[in-house]
Amino acid sequence: MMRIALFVALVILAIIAPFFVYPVFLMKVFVFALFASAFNLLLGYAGLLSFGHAAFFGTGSYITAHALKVWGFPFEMGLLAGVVASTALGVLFGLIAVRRLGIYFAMITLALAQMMYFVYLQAPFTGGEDGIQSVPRGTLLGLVDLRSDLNLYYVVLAISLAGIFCIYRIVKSPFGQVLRSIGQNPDRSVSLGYSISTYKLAVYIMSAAFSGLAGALLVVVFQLASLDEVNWHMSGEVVLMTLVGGVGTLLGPIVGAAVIVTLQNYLAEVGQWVLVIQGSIFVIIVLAFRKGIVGELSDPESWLRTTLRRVGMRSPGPGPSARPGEAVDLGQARQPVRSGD
Amino acid sequence: MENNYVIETRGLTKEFMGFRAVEDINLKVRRDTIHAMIGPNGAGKSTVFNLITKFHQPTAGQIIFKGEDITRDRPAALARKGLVRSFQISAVFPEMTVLENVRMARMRKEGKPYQFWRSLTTLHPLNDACLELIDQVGLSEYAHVSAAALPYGRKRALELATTLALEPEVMLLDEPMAGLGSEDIKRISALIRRVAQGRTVLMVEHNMGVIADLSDVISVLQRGRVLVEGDYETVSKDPRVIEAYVGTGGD
Repeated sequence: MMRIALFVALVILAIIAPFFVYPVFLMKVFVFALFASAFNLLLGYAGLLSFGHAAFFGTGSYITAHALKVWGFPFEMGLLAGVVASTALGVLFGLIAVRRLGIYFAMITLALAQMMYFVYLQAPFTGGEDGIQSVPRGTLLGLVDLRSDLNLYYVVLAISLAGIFCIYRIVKSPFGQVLRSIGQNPDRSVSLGYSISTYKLAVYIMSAAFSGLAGALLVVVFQLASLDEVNWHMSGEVVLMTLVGGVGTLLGPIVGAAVIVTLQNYLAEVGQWVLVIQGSIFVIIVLAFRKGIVGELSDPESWLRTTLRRVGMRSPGPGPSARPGEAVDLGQARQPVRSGD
Repeated sequence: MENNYVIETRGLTKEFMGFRAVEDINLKVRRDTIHAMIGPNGAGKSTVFNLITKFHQPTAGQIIFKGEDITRDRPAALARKGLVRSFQISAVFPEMTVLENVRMARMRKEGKPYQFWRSLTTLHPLNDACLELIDQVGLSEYAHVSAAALPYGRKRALELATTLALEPEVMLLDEPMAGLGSEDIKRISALIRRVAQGRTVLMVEHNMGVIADLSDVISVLQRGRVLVEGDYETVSKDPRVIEAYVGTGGD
């Protein structure tokens, strides 16, 4: 309940924010919050670490940019074109990738995404190194002029929130429950009669669709589709955002996206040092916030105890750990018996 | 007579890179009995188990379930046909509550799992049936505790409840007593005996006390083959069985 109250407070904050903060920066945060939430649907619940989500993000960008600029699609249809394209790509990649386990899944998704990078580098419509520039933003339903940053701000806010809400509903559904079970103990899910490949494919496609929507929105915001969106750096960044914020939590990817985008924007003047700072933060997160910022702060007592223990101080609490046996169980969940389905 | 057998294997063989782990196993599991597989370590019990539940593909041979050839079935499809397995080490969903664990089984049976647009409250009508099963295995007070927090013996009880929620015709239990203390063994034994009413159980187990107590039929495996088959009296007195166990340094 408290989490919902917090969420509502954040939404209200978001509505008044553009009067205090540069709206384009905020829109960038929302877009990445949606992207990270889509990624988290896959990693945080089904336990699938994709290292190629840039392919969907970039496809959303390029196709939307092309549709808006060359085909002259209206705003809504332009976004839809991007989402449809990334969903289709998700079906294709998903069929190839979802039967692979663990590191092989990460590797094959990376490989497929790199293929897409070269496609977009070479394809005649993408403009190669230049990208697709000065993409028109258009109007919302032919009524609201989106050339105004403030107008666009509320549209991007609404679409991002709607996307994140859909993801929330998926997580909190019977289907989401099956995903969690697969993430926690795939062999047991199979023995209960779940064809886990089908579920993995379904969630992979959903994740691709929302990633594509995020990419499409980014194009409208910056009026530019470039190779940055399909580069493997982008795949890494979304992993980083999700882990920093808290994998498997609703707010985690949003917080993670806000932290990383803020760092990149406000530390831009220090140049290459931004990467060093980003790396240091990642190290700190891994050492002290293993479940991410949101993951740890939702249980501050246990966080304090484990962190003190990790740095070698005596635990102030009664027990050695808040939840004994947890670590053991995660290990047990990965059993030696493996199956194709 | 044919109909009396729920599971039958014919010439079941499995090779791992040239090594025959299991060779020409012809197993017949009679309906509504508790059938145990025993044997020294490395005798191939777990392999047979994984073959029957389709977690491994046999190199040769056939598996028949209720007269139907299931040799090429996928493991999930098998579970949907009513043949449900457990695992050697406890297999729960650690970050779900006890109730959610059992409900995972129930909701599959009720055909709800693809609904990604519905809220979780659609699952609430299943709670009563699940809580009843949880009560049956003595976990009522833990219903809303996360499975990771349960002691080991209780996890095994939770597994049984989850398996039962599928109302399986056949339960395959892979060393249900592994890692349990004597108190837990007594409790889980009684539980297995109770839930085996009107069901067929095939289990792999090392604890001879449990075997003697529970099983109707025992198959003794050695080096990938069935050595002897019969009830506990017959099997325990068979010189080949004694030799197999003593000969390998006991078990």
